[in-house]
Amino acid sequence: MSIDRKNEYEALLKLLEKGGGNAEEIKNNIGANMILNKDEVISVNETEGIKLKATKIPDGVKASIIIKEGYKETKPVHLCFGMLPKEGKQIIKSEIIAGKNSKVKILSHCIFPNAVHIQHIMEGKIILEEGAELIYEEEHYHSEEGLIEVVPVQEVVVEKNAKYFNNFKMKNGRAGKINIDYLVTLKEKAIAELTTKIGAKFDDEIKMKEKIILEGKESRGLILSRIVLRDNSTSEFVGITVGKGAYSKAHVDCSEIVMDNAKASAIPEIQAFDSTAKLTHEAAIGRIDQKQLCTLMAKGLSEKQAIEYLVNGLLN
Amino acid sequence: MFMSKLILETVNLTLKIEDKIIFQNINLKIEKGTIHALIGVNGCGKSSIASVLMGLKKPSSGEILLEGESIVDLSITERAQKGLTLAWQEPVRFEGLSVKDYLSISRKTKNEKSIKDALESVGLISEKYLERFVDDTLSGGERKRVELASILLMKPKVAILDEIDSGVDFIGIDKVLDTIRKIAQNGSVLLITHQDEFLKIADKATLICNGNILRTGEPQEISKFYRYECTYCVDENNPDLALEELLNVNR
Ligand SMILES: Nc1ncnc2c1ncn2[C@@H]1O[C@H](COP(=O)(O)OP(=O)(O)OP(=O)(O)O)[C@@H](O)[C@H]1O
Ligand SMILES: [Mg+2]
Repeated sequence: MSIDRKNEYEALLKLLEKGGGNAEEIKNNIGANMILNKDEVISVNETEGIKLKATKIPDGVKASIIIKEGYKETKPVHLCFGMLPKEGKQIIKSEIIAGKNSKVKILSHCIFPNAVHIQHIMEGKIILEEGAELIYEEEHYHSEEGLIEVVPVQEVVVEKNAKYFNNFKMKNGRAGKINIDYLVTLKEKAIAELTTKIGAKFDDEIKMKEKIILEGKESRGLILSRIVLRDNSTSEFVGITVGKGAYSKAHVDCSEIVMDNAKASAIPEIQAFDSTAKLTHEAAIGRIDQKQLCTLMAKGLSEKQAIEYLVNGLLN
Repeated sequence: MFMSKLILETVNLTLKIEDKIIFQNINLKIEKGTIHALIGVNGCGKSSIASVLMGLKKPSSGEILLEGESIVDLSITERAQKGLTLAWQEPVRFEGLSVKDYLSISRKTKNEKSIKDALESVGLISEKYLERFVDDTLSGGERKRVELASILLMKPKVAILDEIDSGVDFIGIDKVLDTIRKIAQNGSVLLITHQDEFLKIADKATLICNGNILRTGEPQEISKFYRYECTYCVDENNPDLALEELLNVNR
């Protein structure tokens, strides 16, 4: 590793640690990992069951992650997508294939500590082969004030009996502009759960479109989103479930807390093409629950402290 | 200096909501270190009194004195910081808030063990519950007990417990009773209840009848009066006159 690379490597890990992430596992190469800064591949560590490949493309990196059939690993695969400069664009085109009956967790850390104006585009194509189980967690560490535009796009196919869990979380800093677009197709008895938790402030703009197509019979899907909006931030949530397979089942649960001058909209869309499919949704947008607030205040917390507790609970 | 025995006192406390009298002229006197029961039929105004005492609702008129000082204009937080707290009849649920974190809010000492002790006190095994969430995965009785543990940790001067017993099973009840006694060792308890078991641990009881205090006195006596003698409580379809008469008799 060149000196520059080594410095970047250490800087990123330090930031990850500071934000509450597990940098130890990466430093000690426990499990597979891949570290990128802007369009540079800083380090790649493969393991016996996980093949990683990263190649440079204009403004970014093309990454492929292939999990061997039957490979089960309890230590997560760490992907560190960082951008140390203040401005710029980073495009990550990733391809993930989880082999038959494999079971892996991927922790994707997106670190933009100095961002003033950054665009981060993540285009993922993910295939879970029969019986595979994949947890994909995306954690964002942003600067406090800068404007970051994050565009996570995923196209996921979950084959028979496979399970896909996606968690998107803003760990710290300002959300900025987030434009999530997920499309998940479920085959027979496949399961997908998409969980998104975002706190927005200033004039952040959150857009989310999450769609699950329940193609296979007895497939199950869940879209869960928790959004807390302050100041002048806005959010648009669209959760779509399409029930095609017999006895397929899906639920959309969207809850948004709106404070100050923030604005939110939620559109759950349900399409059933099979009479045995069961699709449900609940969406709640509103201010903080007064009874919850009063309960915490009756324990001596100020209104501000009580709100912090409620928001942290909802987003963590 | 004269030291009053009273910790909490209300003077002609009245609440009207859109011309409807919810309760009126409530003169409660709660003594230091005592358990004071508040009883009466469904809808007589018990929880409304609790809400006004805690500051969730403003009274239409009247005074609330905590250790002789008016708290009527204080916020909920300020009242709590002065040592008053309330466990709601229907405790709310909190998504993502663990029992441990919830109890840490009311813990007065740095001592981690106090949280475990509080859970054990209400009969919940701490290993089983600390990491659970105070959300709708807790059963009704479990939620009530977690609330009582939280109140115990606060070491309040006055704890208002609104039907803390409801939904708690027959084994848990003894633990709940013990915990209420513990709270009363350092403070006072205003105990809203429908159960005789709970009246037994009370030092005094006040009967509320259609928003009025009908009688205050020895718990068993008040209970007997409530169940068998108060024509208004026994047959709520009786005309208002009966209540007027009763109020006159008891004045
Ligand atoms: N916001 C309101 N508007 C109108 N009436 C109300 C309002 N809140 C409470 N009430 C009425 O005030 C009365 C007293 O209610 P409260 O909840 O205090 O009764 P309670 O004695 O606690 O009854 P329970 O034993 O069922 O808990 C009831 O008749 C109730 O319907
Ligand atoms: Mg009540």
